[in-house]
Amino acid sequence: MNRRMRIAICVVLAVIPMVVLWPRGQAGTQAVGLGYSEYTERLDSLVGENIPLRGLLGQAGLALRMAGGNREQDGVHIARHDFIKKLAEPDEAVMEQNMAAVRDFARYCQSINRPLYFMLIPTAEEILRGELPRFYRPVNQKQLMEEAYAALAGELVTVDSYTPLYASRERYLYYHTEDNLTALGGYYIYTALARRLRVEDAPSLSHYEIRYREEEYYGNLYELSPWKRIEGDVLMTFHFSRYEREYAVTQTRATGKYTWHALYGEHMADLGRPMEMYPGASAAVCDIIVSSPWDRSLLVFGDHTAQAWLPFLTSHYRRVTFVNPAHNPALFAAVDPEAYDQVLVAFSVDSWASSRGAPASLTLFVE
Amino acid sequence: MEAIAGQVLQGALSPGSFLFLFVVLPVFLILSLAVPGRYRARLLLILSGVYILAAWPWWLPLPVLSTVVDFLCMRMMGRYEEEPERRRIFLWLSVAKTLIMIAGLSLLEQAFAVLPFWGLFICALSGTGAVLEAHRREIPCENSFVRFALYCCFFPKLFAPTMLRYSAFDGQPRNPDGDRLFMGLLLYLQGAFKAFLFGGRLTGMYVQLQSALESDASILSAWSLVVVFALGLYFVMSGAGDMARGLGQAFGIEMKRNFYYPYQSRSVGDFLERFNMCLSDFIRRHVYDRLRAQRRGAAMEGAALVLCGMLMGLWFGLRLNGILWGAYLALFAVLETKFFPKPAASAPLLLRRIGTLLVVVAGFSILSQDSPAGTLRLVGAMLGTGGIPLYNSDVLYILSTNRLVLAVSALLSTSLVSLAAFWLRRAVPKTARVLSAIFFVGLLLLYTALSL
Repeated sequence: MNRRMRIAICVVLAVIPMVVLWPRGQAGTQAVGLGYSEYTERLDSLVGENIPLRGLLGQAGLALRMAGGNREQDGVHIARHDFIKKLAEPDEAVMEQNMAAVRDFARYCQSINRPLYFMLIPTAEEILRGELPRFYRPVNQKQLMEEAYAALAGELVTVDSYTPLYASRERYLYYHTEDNLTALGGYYIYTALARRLRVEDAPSLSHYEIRYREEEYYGNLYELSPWKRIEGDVLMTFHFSRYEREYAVTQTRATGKYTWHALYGEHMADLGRPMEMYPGASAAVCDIIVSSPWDRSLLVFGDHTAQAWLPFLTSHYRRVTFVNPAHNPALFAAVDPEAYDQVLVAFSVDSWASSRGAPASLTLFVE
Repeated sequence: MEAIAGQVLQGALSPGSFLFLFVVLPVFLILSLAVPGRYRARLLLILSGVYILAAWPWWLPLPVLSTVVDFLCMRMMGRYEEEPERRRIFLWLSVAKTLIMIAGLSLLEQAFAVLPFWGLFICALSGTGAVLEAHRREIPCENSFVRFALYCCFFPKLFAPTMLRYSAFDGQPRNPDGDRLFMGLLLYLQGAFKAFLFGGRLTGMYVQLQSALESDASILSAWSLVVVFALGLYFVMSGAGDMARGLGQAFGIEMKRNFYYPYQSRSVGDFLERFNMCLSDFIRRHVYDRLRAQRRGAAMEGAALVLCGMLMGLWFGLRLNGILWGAYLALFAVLETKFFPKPAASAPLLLRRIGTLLVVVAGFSILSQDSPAGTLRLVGAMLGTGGIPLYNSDVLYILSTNRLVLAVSALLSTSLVSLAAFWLRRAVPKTARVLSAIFFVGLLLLYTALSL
């Protein structure tokens, strides 16, 4: 074999696969390695978990990273006093699906002659923009909300929760360590709701007795984060001091039905689950019966944010039923919107823009 | 970029993992120090085999096969000492084996998304390089399979091509003394820092910038992408090289430096000699020098340089962009030496360094992308075509949240820190030793803290 032939063979061996596979060049970046043993991965994790002074070293490493400007860990901003969860990039398909479900539900409510109210609630990332890192550009939740309201205009009554929250943004509206509104944040949402639901004007804060049930509560964001230098939260309950009312709160969970005879299940704090003292927290259905002079009833479809503002609404209704459609539909199949005078659909922007199954489950009532 | 970083950074037995740092390395070191010197090569070969089996079990037959084929070729060349034609057959057998392995593994990656580990290429090249050296009678044909296999498959060098000259392996492994062991471990830790902490972080930044460029392009994001790519590639590869050299030193095997502050180069030719040095040395010895020896004129010499540049680009995968990148740099080197030698040599040093840096960084716009179309889009963004803005909040956010990493990595990519350490060792050697020990402990704690 002569020299030129040998060179030609080498060039062919090197070049032809590249030319043939040129359009598929990107496959390499998604290629998966063969041979990473699960056993060695587990061993590596075991070694990592048992390093001496792990906690101290972890905190030091995190402090260094944060000093270097990196204040975002696992989708959570670490601000000076707060953990602020990042809103995931909105999923257009999910929003379309939710929009269609609410539209169908609005038509259903019109057919049964029940007024339907719709509210989207901004997350802490929107209202507490001032605490976010410089140059960070969060999802424009205000624009998302306005687009949703514009698309549904005429079919239902929308409630603006953005304005009262933004106007009071300096106040303790969102928990530092939990991805949710505080009871004070819930009050400001209630002020907007009360106007739109055409009940009495919301009483001022001075009409409420505020009890501080827990003063060092550390929520889900704190538990998930390795950063432990954020102060704990204060869990408050608001008690309307003008009247004495009697309550029967029945929570339906996967494990069964639980009833307590107070607006807040303060015994849950003693059981080590203080966040569950708020009606609607962690429940598929929360049915609140109030010894009230009012004869009105309200059905609410919502998510975890409802636990902040739901208690305030009980001042105006004989019965308030909250349904969280993210739970097993079998748990709320018996709820009948026709048995209520008003229906409210209220979700956080997070649930609206990126969560399949929550608002979209409203179609179960239409079918 | 992620594929390159993944080769070094991913896996429970990657050289910077906790399992490796706190379990495998201490055990291997203790065993290595415990055995008498004459058994050290055998032990290191066994340890390398165990490591490959644990880290990449499915790939073990390939380095074994490659090493056996290369060793047999070398032995056969030794048997046919006076028959050049037969020696040439065995040489081509080894070369063909390596080319088929490279082509086959690249095909596997491109067509079936199965990523082979880098070490396979290093192993194959090492063996073929040794056969080439033996063919040219630069070294005697090796009789010991253990030594030959150790040269090809020594586990630290499977992450970085830090030893591709068999003649440099002569007399190794040696018994490391306390100083060499300590300095080796320090170098290893520095390499882990560079590769895992800086390289890993810069790789993450690269992914963010790529995404930001696709969604909302700006001139700053385009330039940031190529700069971050340049830094990330340097830190991953030089970090891997330092880890390999450090581990080699600790086990008694000296390996060559692979990167020598390439971004301080005075010319593009200088850059090619400072970047991936062992590979460029290999290509120069076995390809460029042979082509130049035929004396076919300046044009052919230039073409040979371009071919060598393309081969260097092939190291980053069987991708057109890798080849174009190598050709781009080689063309500039040809222009410097053949067409503008006087201006290139007489310009002020600072200007030459800045000019070279600009050419090199711009060249990474080719290597950083998966296709020529991607490169064209990136270059268009770098030049501000299409009316894109100068900057946007996305790129400012990415840069501001990584400002410390960028600043420190820019500093560490220069020789300033190394010069300061050198001066310290010369000026106050005893204090420098104490400081080295403190630095070692501090680096270990810092590495552990930042890796958790």
